[in-house]
Amino acid sequence: VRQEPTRRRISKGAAASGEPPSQKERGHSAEATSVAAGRSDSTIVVHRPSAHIAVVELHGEHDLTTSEQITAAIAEELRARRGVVVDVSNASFIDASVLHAIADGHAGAQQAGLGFALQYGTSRLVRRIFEITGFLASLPSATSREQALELAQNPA
Amino acid sequence: MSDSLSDRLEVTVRAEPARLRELRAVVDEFASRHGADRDARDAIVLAVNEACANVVRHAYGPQGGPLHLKARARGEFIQVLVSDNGTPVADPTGPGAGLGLRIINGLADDVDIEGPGRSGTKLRATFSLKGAQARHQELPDLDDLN
Repeated sequence: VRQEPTRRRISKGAAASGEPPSQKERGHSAEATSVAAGRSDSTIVVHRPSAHIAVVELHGEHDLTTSEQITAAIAEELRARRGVVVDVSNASFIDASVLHAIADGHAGAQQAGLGFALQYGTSRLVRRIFEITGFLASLPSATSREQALELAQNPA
Repeated sequence: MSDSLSDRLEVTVRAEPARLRELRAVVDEFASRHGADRDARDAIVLAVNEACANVVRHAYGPQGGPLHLKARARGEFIQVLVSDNGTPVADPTGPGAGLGLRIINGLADDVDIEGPGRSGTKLRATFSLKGAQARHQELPDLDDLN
């Protein structure tokens, strides 16, 4: 497998895949930052539905190749004093390095007095790693965007 | 990169993050070909990824080195060996590796770690082909995969 050079691009309201954003995404996103990490189908997309909240979406497979970028994306939003939702509902694979990145983000939000929440979905592999580690018990989490945004409104 | 016999898989790659995805795909295909159910395949993919990630993170310095992945099917089980030739820059069983090892221990029916030592580290793990359905059943006496 050839790793493409890491690219970072900023696009208004467009997902990293190049596909047009859904109606829901268009409705929510004032701005979206896409980080194409390693492979085109492993992307990190940052939406900012309001001035005080950011959603860091992980699409595709994420492991050591992208965990530092996930850490950086979360840290950037916290530095800007935005609460963060990390959405793994479109991730098909995450590993321990990604769990560490999310846990570090949660700790950073707590230190900064900002909200933080995890949104998760139905991917088997992602669910399995949550089960085996008990990760969901360690931070606020929800299965819908609305619930996750609500959780991230308030300091963790 | 692969020398795959009917019941054996042998892969050696450079230990770097970009190879993890293909290692997951290779071991998933091997498990599927030998009748592993969905639950078992997921367990093998997650555990092998963590074992390989430990090699990538801990086995070598900046010069890098090889990562060896072997697997074989034995009856109702698949045995996996992930090894390296490194003198660890950090203890792969020490702090920081805890979550990865916890994942491997939670998913495999049996785990054995040899090293780290002068000739590297070997992690052997055994998985039932029937995943959760067969969990806790008694393991047969399988000779070590080397």
